[in-house]
Amino acid sequence: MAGSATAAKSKITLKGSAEIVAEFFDFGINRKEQKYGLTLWVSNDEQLTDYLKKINSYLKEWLVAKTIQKLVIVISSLDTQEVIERWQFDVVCDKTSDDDSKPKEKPLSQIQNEIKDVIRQIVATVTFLPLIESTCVFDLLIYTDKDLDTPENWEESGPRFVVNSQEVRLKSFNTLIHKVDAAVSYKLN
Amino acid sequence: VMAASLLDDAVTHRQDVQFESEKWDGETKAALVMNVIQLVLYHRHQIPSPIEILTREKSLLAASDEKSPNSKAGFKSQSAKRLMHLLESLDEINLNLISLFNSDIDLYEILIVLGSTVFSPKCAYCIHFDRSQHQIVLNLPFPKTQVISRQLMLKLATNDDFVACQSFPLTNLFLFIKLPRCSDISWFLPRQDFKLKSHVKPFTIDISLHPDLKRSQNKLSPADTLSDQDTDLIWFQAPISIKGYKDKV
Repeated sequence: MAGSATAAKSKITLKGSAEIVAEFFDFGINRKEQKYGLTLWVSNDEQLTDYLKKINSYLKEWLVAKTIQKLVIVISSLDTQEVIERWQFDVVCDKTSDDDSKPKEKPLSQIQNEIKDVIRQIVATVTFLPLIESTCVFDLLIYTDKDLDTPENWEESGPRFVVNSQEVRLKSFNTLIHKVDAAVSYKLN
Repeated sequence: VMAASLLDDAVTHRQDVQFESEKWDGETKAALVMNVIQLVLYHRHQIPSPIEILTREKSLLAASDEKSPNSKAGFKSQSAKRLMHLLESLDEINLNLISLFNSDIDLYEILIVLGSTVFSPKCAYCIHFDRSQHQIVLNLPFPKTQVISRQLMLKLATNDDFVACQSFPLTNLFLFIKLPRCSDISWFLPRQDFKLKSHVKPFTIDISLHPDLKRSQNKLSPADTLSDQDTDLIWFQAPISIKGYKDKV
């Protein structure tokens, strides 16, 4: 029968929300780990892991500062530089939230279930995205508020859209402070 | 959990899929059925990753076995054995579906049932292929099976009702096909006693060909207007069920 117990509410602070969202972006690319009740592939390449750790620390900073608008992963051909796939994560921040704000109430389990659904859907895109047969590279693009200075080791970039593309909107998750929407664009064959 | 499962299936959900092709062959139809089975297994949490990824894992396991044949990793691990069994079962079903679709037997409906037994279903998925007879020829190029498959996968993977599923523990997947009773087939076994429980509303997938064919002079096969009883249709069941597995990391 349907349960009558109320799920325990979790108090979500700005920093806590930034941790949750940054952790979501941390999971991606060779080693298997269990997280969100899923088996996820995580990189075991040291250089790549170090690079992603640095990115993650910037992400947390921008999430707490509420200056991040989008995170984009561009996959392009090593030989031709043609953009083949483009993953866009739109981040909408509650600008009224700060360190002194009253924490939002939403069960952590609910947020994690939403994240799980997003990740499962991302993984399921392997069933319909065209196979990439050439060697590729990836670039990370971050869209931020205009008044943010370009950090060291970063440079300004164009949007790197896919030419002649199809876009598929995926699911989203919401911590009530940060909302993340996902979408993928890919080259139409 | 029981109430949530019933609510989940109380309303009929559907996905219509149309392909810009004027005909299809047995391999394509079988591939589409297998696509649905594979997506159901993944979205109902019966397998840890989509079949595409698991197939690549199988290659990695084979390579690992070659490098260290005496280790307990690779194909000797429990997960690996279950993975192999799963892929072999799917291959067997695929081969027999191709054989069936390439025969003259008129196939009315395909039913995928998840549950511990066929009489205790948790959910079901029904596939209909357009069986109407078309009078015009469009001379369209025949798209590759892979292209059609990916179009179907895209539709289903982005259908909120299809992906918004209650997960449940590992259970069995059964495959049924509805054929005339007198059909001359050997691998699928007649199940005259089978009827899907009424509280389970299957997610319905209607697959049809190019829309211009429907707008053309279009006659349904006379049998389509008759009931199961009139056309003496019964369910046939695949003799093997599919059982997924959980990854142990």
